[in-house]
Amino acid sequence: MIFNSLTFLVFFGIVLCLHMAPLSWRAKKLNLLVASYIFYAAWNPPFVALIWLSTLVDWFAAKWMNASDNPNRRRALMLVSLVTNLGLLGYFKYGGFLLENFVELLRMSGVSYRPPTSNIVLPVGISFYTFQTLSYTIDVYRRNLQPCKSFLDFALFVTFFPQLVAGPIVRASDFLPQCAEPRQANPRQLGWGFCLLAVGLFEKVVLADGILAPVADQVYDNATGVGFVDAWLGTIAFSGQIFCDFAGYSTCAIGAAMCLGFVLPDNFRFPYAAMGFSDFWRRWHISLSTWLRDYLYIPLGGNRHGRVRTNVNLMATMLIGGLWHGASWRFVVWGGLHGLYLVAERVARHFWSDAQWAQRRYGRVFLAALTYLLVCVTWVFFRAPDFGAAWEVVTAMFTRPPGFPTQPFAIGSVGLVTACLLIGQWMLRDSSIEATADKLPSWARSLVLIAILVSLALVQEDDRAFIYFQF
Amino acid sequence: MPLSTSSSDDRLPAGPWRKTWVVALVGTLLLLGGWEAHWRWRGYHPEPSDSAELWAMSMRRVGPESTVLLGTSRIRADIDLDVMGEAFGRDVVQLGINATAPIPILEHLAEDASYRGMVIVDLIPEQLFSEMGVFDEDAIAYLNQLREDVSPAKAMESKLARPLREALAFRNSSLSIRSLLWSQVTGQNRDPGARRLDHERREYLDFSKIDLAKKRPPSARNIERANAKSATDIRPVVERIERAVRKLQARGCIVILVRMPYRADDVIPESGRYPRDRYWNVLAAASGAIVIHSDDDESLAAFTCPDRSHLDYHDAAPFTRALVEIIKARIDEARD
Repeated sequence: MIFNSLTFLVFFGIVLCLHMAPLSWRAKKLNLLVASYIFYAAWNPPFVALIWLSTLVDWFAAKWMNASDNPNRRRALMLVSLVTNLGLLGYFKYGGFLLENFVELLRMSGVSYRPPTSNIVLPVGISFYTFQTLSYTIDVYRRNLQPCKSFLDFALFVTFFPQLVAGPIVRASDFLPQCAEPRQANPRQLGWGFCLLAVGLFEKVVLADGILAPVADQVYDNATGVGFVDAWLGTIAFSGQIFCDFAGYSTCAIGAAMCLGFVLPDNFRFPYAAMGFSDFWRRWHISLSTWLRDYLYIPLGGNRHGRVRTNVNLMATMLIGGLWHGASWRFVVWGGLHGLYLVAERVARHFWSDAQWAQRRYGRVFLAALTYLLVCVTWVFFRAPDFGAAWEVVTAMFTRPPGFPTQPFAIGSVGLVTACLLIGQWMLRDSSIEATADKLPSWARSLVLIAILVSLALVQEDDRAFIYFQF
Repeated sequence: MPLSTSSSDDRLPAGPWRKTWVVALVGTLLLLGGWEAHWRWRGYHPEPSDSAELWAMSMRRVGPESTVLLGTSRIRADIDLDVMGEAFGRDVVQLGINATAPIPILEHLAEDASYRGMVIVDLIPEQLFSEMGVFDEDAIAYLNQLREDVSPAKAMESKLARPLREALAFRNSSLSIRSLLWSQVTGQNRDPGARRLDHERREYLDFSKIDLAKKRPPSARNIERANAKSATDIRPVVERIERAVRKLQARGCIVILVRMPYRADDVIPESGRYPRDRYWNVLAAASGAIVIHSDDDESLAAFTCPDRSHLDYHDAAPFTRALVEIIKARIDEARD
C-alpha cells in the first residue's frame, strides 16, 4: 500500500478511528500491529512471513543474549541474528547480483556457465526493516539496551506501518519507550500530523511525480547522444525528484505516526542547503547515515586510528551504504563518489580549516552550490539504467556543446521547482518547518492547505511507488 | 538520535488547528466543485482512463466464443460494439490499442487453447513493415500488465478509484493539469466532448467539435516513425501473422484482417512507401485469413475520414453494419 492512494486513505481512516476508540492500550497496539501486517501484505501477502521470521529470531536472540553471561553463547546468538537477517537480505536482494558477477568472473577466466533463470522478487522495504531489527539485537548484545519485555511491543517496533517500508529507520531505544504508555494524538499533534501528511503527498505526487519525474525519465531513458542542456536538465530534475520522493515519504511517515500519537526521527533537514558533504550526510537520510555511523563506521575504528585509516573507514562505509541502496555496481559507484567527496573534504579542512572566505555569506553560498552540483553528479549513477547511459549523461554534462534542448518547456518548470527548492532549503537550513508554520496565521495555513489539497486532486498521474521502496 | 518534530508539543505549531482544517477542507471542496461545474458547463463528462489496466479488464472479459477486436485507434473509433454484437449474436470485446500493431495480442490469443471465437484485426502496413521494426511496444506493455500479478492493494485501488472517475469530469485525463498546461503552451483549443471513451474502450470522435487545423502536433516518436523507410524483407512479420492465424483457425476460430478506411493522399505512406501490391497484398495472400480492404468495397470506401484515418462517431454504426454484411458474405464464401 502506498501513501499516495485512496486505499491508504480508507485504511488510515479506519486505523485512526480504532486507535481513538475507547479501547485498552493493549487492544490499540494490537490494532496497530494487525494494521501494519495488512499494510505490508497488501503488496505481496506471503512476504509477511519474512517479517515474522525476523521478528521471532531477533526477539529470542536478544532475550537469550541478555540472560547469558557466556561471551561465546552471546556471540553465537548475535551471529544467528546477523545470519538470519543478512541472509534474507542477501538472498532476496543480492542473490541475482552475486550470481551475475560470479558468471561474469567465470566468463573472464574462460569458463562458460549459464545458470538457471532465477526470478527472485524483492520484498518491499526489506533493507529498512532488516537494519531496524539488527540495530535492536546489536544494541542488546552491546548491553546498550535492555531487551523488550513485551512481544507485542517488539513486533510493533519491527512492523509499525508508517515507517515500515521506507523509513525513517527507527531505533528500539526511541520507539519501545513510546509503547509503554497509552498514546493518542492531541489536537495539535493531529492538526500538524495531517499537515505533514498533506505536505509529504504534495512533494511526492505534485512535485516528484507530476513535474520532475517525466523530465528525468525522458532524459535517462533516451540517454544515447543526449545534449549538454538535456543532461543537466534531466539530472537536476532527478535531484529534485529523489528528494521530493524520499523526503515526501518520510514526511508522510512522520505525519501518520504523529496522528497516532507516535514520534519518529527526522530523516531530512534541508540537505540541498548543505555546505560540504559531511554536512550533507547530516541532513540526507539521517536515519541511515547515523545507522551506518553507529553500526559500521565506528566499529571499523571510526577516526580513532589515524588519518589514513579514517579515510579507509569512510570509503568502506560509503561503499557499503551505496550497495545498501541496490544490487548494482552503479550504487557502489554512487557511494564511492560520496566517499571520495568526504575524504577530499577532510583533506581540504585539514589545509584550510580557518579560511575566512568560507565564513562569509558569498563563500557559504558558493560552498552550498558546489556541494549541490557535485551531489548532482553522483545522482547520475543513481538514476541511470546502466553504466552506458550514466557515462553518456556525465560526458554530456561536462564535454558536449549546449545543443538544442528536446524539452524546452520543461526548463521553466524544472527551473522553477528547483529554484524554490534550493532557495527554500537555504532559507530554512538553520530553522525548521515547524518554526515556519508556527509564524503563519491560521488563515494563511488554511490557504496553503487548500493549495496543496486542490493540486493533489487535480494532478493525475499513475500512482507511482516511492523510489526507496525498491531498497 | 534526535526525535523529530514533536518530542514535546512545544516544537509543534500552535493555533486553532480544527478551524484551520475545517476552512481548508471547505475551501478545497468549494474550489473543486467550481472546477467540476466549469468543465461540465464546457461539455465534459466523466470517463474512464484509457489505461493498460482498463485494457486488461477488457481482456479478462474475453470468453471462449467472444468476438474480439484487435488493432489501433481506427478500430476503436470506427466500430459500434452494439451493432456488431447484435449482428453476430455474441459479445464483442474491444482490445484495440492506439498507435500499436496488435501482433503480440493476436499471438497471445492464438496460444489460448480455450478461445474459439472470431478475431477481427485492424492492420496498418506502416506499423508492420517499417525498417524500424514492428511498432508493437505498447501491445507488449499491455500484455505485461495483464500477466502481472495484481496485488491486493492494486485491486482495491482500482475498485476505489473507479467510482470517483465515474463521478467527476475533471478526473478525465484530458483535463489533468499537465494536459491543460500543454494545450495552453501549444495554443491548441480544447474541444469539449470531441473525444470520449466508454468503459468498453470504444472511442467516440466528434469531428464537428474538432478544429483539425489546430490538431495536436505529433510526438517525436511519431515523427521518427512517419519518416522511417519501409522494410525490404517483410517475410518475418508475415510469417508471424500467418502462424498465429493458422493456430487460431485450427481451433475453429475465424480470423479477419481488415484495412480500415483512410483518406488516400500524399501523407498516407500506403500510397507512397507502402504500395499495396508489395505489402498488403503479400500479407493477404500469405495469411490464410479472410482479408478485407476498405478500398475494395464501395460500401466501405464511401465513408470518409475527416482526419485521414478515423471515422466520425455518427458513421460508426452504418460503417459497422456495412462491414458486418461483408464479413458474413466472406465467411459464407469461405465455407463454400
